[in-house]
Amino acid sequence: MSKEPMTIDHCICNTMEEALRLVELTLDQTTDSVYWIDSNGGFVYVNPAACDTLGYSRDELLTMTVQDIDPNLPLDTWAKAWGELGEGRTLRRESCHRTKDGRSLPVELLVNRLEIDGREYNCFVVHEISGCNQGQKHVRGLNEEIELQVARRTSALLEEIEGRERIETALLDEKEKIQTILDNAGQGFLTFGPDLKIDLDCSEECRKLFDGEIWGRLFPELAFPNDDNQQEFLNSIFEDIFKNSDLGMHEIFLSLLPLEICINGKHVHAEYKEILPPGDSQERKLMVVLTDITETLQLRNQIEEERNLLRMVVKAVTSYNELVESARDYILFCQVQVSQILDSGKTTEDITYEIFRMIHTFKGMFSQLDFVYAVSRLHDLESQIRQLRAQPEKPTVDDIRKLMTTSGMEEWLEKDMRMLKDILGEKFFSREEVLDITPSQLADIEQIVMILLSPAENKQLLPKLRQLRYRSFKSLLRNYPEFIRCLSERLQKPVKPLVIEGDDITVDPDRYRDFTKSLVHVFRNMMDHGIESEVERAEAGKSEEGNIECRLRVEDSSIFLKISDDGNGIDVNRVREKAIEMGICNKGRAQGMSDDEIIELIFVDEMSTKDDTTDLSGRGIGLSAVKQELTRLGGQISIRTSPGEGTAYYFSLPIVDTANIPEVSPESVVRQVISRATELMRDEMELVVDDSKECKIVKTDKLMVEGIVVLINIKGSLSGMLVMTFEDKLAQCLVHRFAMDELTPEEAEEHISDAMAEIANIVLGNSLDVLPELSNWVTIATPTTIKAEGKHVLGFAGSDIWTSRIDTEKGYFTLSLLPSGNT
Amino acid sequence: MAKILIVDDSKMMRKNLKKILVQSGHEVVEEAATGMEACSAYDLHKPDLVTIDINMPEMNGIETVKRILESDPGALIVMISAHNEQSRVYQAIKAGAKNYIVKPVRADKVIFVVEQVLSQYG
Repeated sequence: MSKEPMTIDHCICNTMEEALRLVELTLDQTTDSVYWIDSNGGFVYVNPAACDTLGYSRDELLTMTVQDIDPNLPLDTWAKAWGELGEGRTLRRESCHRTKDGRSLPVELLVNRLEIDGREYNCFVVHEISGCNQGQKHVRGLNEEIELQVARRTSALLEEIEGRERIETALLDEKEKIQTILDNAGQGFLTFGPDLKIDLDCSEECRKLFDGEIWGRLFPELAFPNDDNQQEFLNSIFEDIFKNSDLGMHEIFLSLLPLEICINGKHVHAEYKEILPPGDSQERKLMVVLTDITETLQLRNQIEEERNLLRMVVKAVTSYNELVESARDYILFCQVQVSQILDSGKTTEDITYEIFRMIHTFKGMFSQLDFVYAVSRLHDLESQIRQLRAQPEKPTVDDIRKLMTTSGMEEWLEKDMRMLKDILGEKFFSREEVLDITPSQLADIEQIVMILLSPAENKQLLPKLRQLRYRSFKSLLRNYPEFIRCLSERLQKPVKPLVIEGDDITVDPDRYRDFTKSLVHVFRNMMDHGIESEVERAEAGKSEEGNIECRLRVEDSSIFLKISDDGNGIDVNRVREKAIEMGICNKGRAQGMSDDEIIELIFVDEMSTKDDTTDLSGRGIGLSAVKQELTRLGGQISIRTSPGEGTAYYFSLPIVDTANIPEVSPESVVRQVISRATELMRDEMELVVDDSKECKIVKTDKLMVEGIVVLINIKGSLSGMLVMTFEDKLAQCLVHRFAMDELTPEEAEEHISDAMAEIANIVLGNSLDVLPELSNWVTIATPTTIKAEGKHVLGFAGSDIWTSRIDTEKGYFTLSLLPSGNT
Repeated sequence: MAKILIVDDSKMMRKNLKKILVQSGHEVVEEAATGMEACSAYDLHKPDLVTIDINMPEMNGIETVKRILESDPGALIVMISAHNEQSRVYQAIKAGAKNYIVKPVRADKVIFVVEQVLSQYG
């Protein structure tokens, strides 16, 4: 709107009427609402647009005030605003009109003031700003959106760029990684195309393998620098592969390429792969993967060698005799037999054949023993001989001789033998042939010797035999230090290493083994119950490591063994309780027993004071086993324990020399024999024996004999001779009674000596059965009989004779023992 | 089920090969011990496939390949070679053999190669 008020004068119209009509038309047509209000706010004029917009009819509106449609226009503030404005000015204001149907219309008011004939009028031009605002809003919105979109697109683009940059970096990283992998794979990767020139991108390993840069060089040249044939071969095959489009053939060609190449003295394994890039247009390439297997080969060879060595050693030990024999035979062959055969005068053909056969045999023998070197040399010699024989000009004996003497075959064993000696020791081969004898075989021999020989002879021989079988007592305990160490680890209780200290003595292991084995329960108990954990020991102010001692003392005829620990000690009260609990003794008795007596109870079966039976002990059987063994040996045990300080077991064992053959006095033997003889005469021969006086055994140095004399030799723990004499008339009687059938006088005469010998034999034999200690250790020889004519004196040099005489109703007999010296 | 001609100077080898081929259902129409025999046997029987030992006295395997292919360019030939004869095998293949088997012959390998050649070129 122009600032200057317009008057109708300014119109170009001809008449007032025309001008008015134009103005009316304008007002009628305009879409803006136009109305006039008077000073009271009442409507004096409204145009059609106003009516339409507000929804009222003209007539209605003309009765209303502006306040009816616009509560925001109170007259008082209006006047003020108006006053400020002044004449001819326009007031522009936003407000809100209310339509007839209650809608709110945001509007913009352009208000003018007019005075006509002293009357004040306000002219309102109203247009809705909703549409306009909306439009503007819309445009603004669109603008904003556009800007947003632009921003988004920009940031999206930036993101994309960033993303791509990241990918690029990642790719570069990956490439680096792959390159690193390839470089460090220990394998050389190289590629080449139809020109066979190696590409730039090859792995580090290639440079290492070939000792320098290889790109641009021709592969065949590189692989076989000194072998023109191979180069040509490779060239042809590669040409074929690159030219030929039949992929099937490629496989075949590739398979013909060499698998192993030698580069700078290194053994290299080669693998060939065809690389087919996507799309036919791109160049095909071949990739070669090279792996340095020099070390692998070396290792393989080394392993092979060691395995051979191992086999050889095992054979040497298990077939020792065979080895020694073979070695001996071979040396003999080399030094003696070859010349023998050569000089034998046989045909050359025969000689050659025989030598060949021998070599072949030795080859086989040493092959059995895994003598790798000797076998290979013998094999070569074999081939040489074979070649000689195959020649058109047959070899002469001298040719063969020359071959054999220059071969140096005696030394071929040395190499393998040296390896064996290095491992098994020099002494290994200086042994004679070795025999295996078991301890039981020795024990048998000992027994027999003791029976057959006199005590004097036994004294000489038995110790030597025993030396073979007996062991030191300490050696029977040799496993316990390791046992303690294992337990210490398992139970996590540190213990100082166990040392078996003190005296030692050679004993019969068979006799003591069960006892020393049972000691395992003692040691186990000590570790389990006795020695405390590290913590407990620290609390008790003890040394970190527990202490277990084992000490031997040998005195006179006893072995004293002390096994002790510095642990908890035996809790006597617990033992007492347990004993009561287990019903081993009742409460009353248990209370009454002294501590020592209580402690003894731990040897009773089923006793253990530990409540939870651990895997190791506490089953209550162990210690009773020890007691059992001890008793069997005739030994003793005593225990000393102190709570918190430790426990000590004292074992004493008698040394029983099983060489102690029971000694029996000759006197007792004679007495026994007499008793049996008397019995025989009385009961079986039915003779009356004069036993009125007690049988007197006399020691003499001379023996009077008459009648039939029977001599029986005794050997063993008792050595000597039994002499039994029969008065003739007694003998006569006995022979008839002894015989089963009736005897004629001639027959009696014939058999009388035999009969007496028999009787003496029986008597002696039976007596010895009664003396069990003797019966095992003594042998009785066949009797010798003498018919003494008249009386004779029997003297036994240097020894006493134990003799006795018994009378019977039919005559007397004597029994004498002539023991041989015990020296 | 193909008709096969075996060419090898070793009777043992021929026997082994024959056993393998027959056991897997093929027919051995002829065994030839030399290159010359091979050529005439080929003309006579017109087998589906020929196995030729590379190493033969007088006419060697490669020669034989060439001769047979002269008379029948479509002949299917498989070479039998001892180890380490790659360059000779290569020559044979250049001359027209289709594939090769390395001694000692194993049944599975022989059948694989033979049947592959038959199916690919037959």
